[in-house]
Amino acid sequence: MQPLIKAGICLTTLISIIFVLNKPIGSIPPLGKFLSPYTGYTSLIHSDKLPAGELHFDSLSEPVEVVWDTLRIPHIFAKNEHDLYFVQGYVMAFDRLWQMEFQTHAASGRLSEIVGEKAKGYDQFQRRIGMVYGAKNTLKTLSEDDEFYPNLLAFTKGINAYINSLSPSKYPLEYKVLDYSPELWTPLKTCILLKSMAWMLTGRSTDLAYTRIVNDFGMDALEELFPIFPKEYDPIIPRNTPFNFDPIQLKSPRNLYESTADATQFLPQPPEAIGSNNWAISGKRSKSGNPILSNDPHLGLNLPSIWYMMHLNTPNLNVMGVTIPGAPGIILGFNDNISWGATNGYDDVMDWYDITFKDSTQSEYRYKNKWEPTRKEVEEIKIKGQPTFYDTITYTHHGPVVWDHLNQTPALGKSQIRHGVRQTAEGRALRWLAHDASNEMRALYKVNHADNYIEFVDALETYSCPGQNFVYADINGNIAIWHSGNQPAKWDGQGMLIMDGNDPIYDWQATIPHAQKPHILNPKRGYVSSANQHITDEDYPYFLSSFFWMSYRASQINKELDKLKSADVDDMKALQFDNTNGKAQNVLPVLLNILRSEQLSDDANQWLSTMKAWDYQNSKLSIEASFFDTWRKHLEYETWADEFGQGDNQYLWPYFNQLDEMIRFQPASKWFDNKHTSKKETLVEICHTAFNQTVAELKKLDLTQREWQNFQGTDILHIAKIPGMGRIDLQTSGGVDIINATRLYEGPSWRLVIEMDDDLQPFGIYPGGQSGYPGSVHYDDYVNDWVDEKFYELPFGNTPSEIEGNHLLCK
Amino acid sequence: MQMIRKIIPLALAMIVVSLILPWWGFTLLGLSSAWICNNLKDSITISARASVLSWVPLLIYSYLNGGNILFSRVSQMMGLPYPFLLILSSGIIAALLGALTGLSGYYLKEVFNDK
Repeated sequence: MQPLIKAGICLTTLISIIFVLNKPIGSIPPLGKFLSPYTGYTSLIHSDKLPAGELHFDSLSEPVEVVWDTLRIPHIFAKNEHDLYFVQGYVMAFDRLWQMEFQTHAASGRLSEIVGEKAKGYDQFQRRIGMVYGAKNTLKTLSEDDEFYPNLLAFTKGINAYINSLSPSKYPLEYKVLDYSPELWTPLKTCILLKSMAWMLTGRSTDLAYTRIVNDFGMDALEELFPIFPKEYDPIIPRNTPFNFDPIQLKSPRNLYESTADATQFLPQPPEAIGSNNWAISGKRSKSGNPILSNDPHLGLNLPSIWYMMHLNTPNLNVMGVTIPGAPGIILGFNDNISWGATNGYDDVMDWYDITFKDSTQSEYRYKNKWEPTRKEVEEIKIKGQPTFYDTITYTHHGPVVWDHLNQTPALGKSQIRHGVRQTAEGRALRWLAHDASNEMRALYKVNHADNYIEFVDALETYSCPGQNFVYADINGNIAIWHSGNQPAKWDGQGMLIMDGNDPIYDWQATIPHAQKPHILNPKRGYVSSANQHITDEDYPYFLSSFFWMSYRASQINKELDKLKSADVDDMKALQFDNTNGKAQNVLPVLLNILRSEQLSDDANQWLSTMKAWDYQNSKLSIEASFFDTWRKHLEYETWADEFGQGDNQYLWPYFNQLDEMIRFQPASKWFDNKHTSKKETLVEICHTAFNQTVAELKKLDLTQREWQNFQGTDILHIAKIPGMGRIDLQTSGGVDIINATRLYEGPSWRLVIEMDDDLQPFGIYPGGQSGYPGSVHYDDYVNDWVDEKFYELPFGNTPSEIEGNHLLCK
Repeated sequence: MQMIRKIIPLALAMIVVSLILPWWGFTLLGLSSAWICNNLKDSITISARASVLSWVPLLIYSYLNGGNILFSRVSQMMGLPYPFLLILSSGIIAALLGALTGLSGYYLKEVFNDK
């Protein structure tokens, strides 16, 4: 062979190998680039090292001092707000740049650009529910806010100053793994992040599920199994609290519209176990006479953590707490005078409307029995390594048409879409509060600055979505809870079922005036609390939602707070870790009483004795908690699967409190009967069957595996689910509907306890670490202490000299 | 000894080039190895060894100098049970590319010599 041919073959092979090693293959990073010690992951070693000495920025008008304390919390001391937010953006990006950007990509339906075809369905859904549409509306309002918008611009400039300081070899690890580069930050990205929070906290939609139950089982079944107000509930605003205002008069339909609800699949939902606890006790119940506030929001747990701790200081501001990377200011925390926390309000602010189009071009839709024009937007979904996918979304006055029965068809060419080939004459539009122009950031900015209750309440007026129960305590001895958000004023049951998009009586007619939102200040009982349960009793004049979390956590919190007469911060911390299983407390005595020892095997009798001795605590070593949890699942299955399927996207099963009530008060309920057998089953049969199934299931596990800490445990996965970047098999206690609401993938994402003395005593922790760099000890250094149920005392002060740590001067 | 005298300068040159050019920049120098070698075997060996030398010691240093957590996480991500296997994998890639450039360089030299 000629040398030229040999050289040609060798060089072609060499170039081909380099080409292959330069590109990611599936989930494998570009190996050459990634493993090279000059451009790959190793160039990031020590990239978490805090800057010290001085940094120079043209944008700063005065020097800013940053002190990172021993917990690696940045304390930023600036002379004015522009400089403060600029440095906040810079510091945040230093620790969490990739996370900030990835979350905005995910929320705005741009993951396909990074991970390719597999994210197309997800991206299409994010576009169709109008995440960016809502964010743009919010940005429009924000840009007209002369007071706050300059701060957002300064924050954005700070992030971009950090991005511009990076050479490609210093891009955070995940950029290298996924092989892409950071974009410059924009105010819109911050708005998108907040909309993604709105989705996580208000995206639980039961309209289709309830409509299907009405259609297939009747309205009576819905009212029986999914009552708006169950027999037992413990509302945030205590029962019989008078509502002294004139409510807005709303028009409601005489006969409720009946949607076909057809065979549409349920849409993706946020994680089910999202919830939170908060409470505040007044000086009447504390040892020191000062109010004490406690808050633990339960969210999906990830690394890097959803939260980032910061302390921000100017001559007019001194605030500390947590914020979401990418959002300016502090979202949950405290300042010199007040502290606040939040639980999700669970208002129904996501409604669905059946839409009839004039024809399949979807150019006009029927409203008030006339044809009204629609608006179309073509979404361009760029897919890594594939042709761009175009999706035309039709907008009505309700909002985007998310379902058009064909929205999951394969990609079609742009020309076909523009000709309306893929669309149908029917669809379902989404009305979502998060689409509205709003200014939550201004609300939080004003909360950061609030010095007293009046200013706090005033600050919440522009808070729109997601609706939250804000708990409040101040150094003047006040405690309060405000249910905040621009919730629509709804007639009873409005939006529970899919509504008629033609009839304006189903439209949202008004917004609940701020002063009429449920709230309570300094109640006689000496505490306020919330745990995602019903906001009010049935006397509140507006319909807020058909779904609130069951009151197990709320009742247990109130029961424990009732007992406390001289509490301190340690009592409050301990209450956050209360593992009492309210479900078991209710039903277990009844169930154990039903079981007949003579009908049980030896193994089953052993378990019967064990369960009789249980203290109802979901503690780490409890095997009873594992048994009860399994038994509960079998009981639910045996009761509901015959009518409502097997959790296969057909129906929603009733919540456990319904089964709880049936077990205790209606043992002969027809729902216990298995409709597929000729025999008439009762609670007795179901109880035995489920018990025996549980005994058999747990027999397969050894003693260690039966312990609750291993049986349930907690996994904190990396946000992009990159293997090796999370923390798995964490041995935790608690569980769903327990105050200590730690679960497999969700749990207390931030814990705060603070005594409102002149000399504040804040304690906090979250399951993660301040650094977003997986090679840092600060990536997950709080996790072990979080598992061990510890808190950190948070350093707080008014001057840099009060904080010990690493100092940086920005000029 | 003579071989080491060739490998070390080539490896140092590869390090300098890697600091400036993209990650594959060192292969350009690997091509040149043929000009300092008398036969195919030497060309391949010297280029491969120099490539490994320009990567692996730096990786070991990185691991020992604060990189242990990162190496551990990245090896888990790649499905490797131990971090040293990550270094070994990198060494294999460097060796493979180095050998191939040595081979290519040798035949290129032959082409030029023919002319």
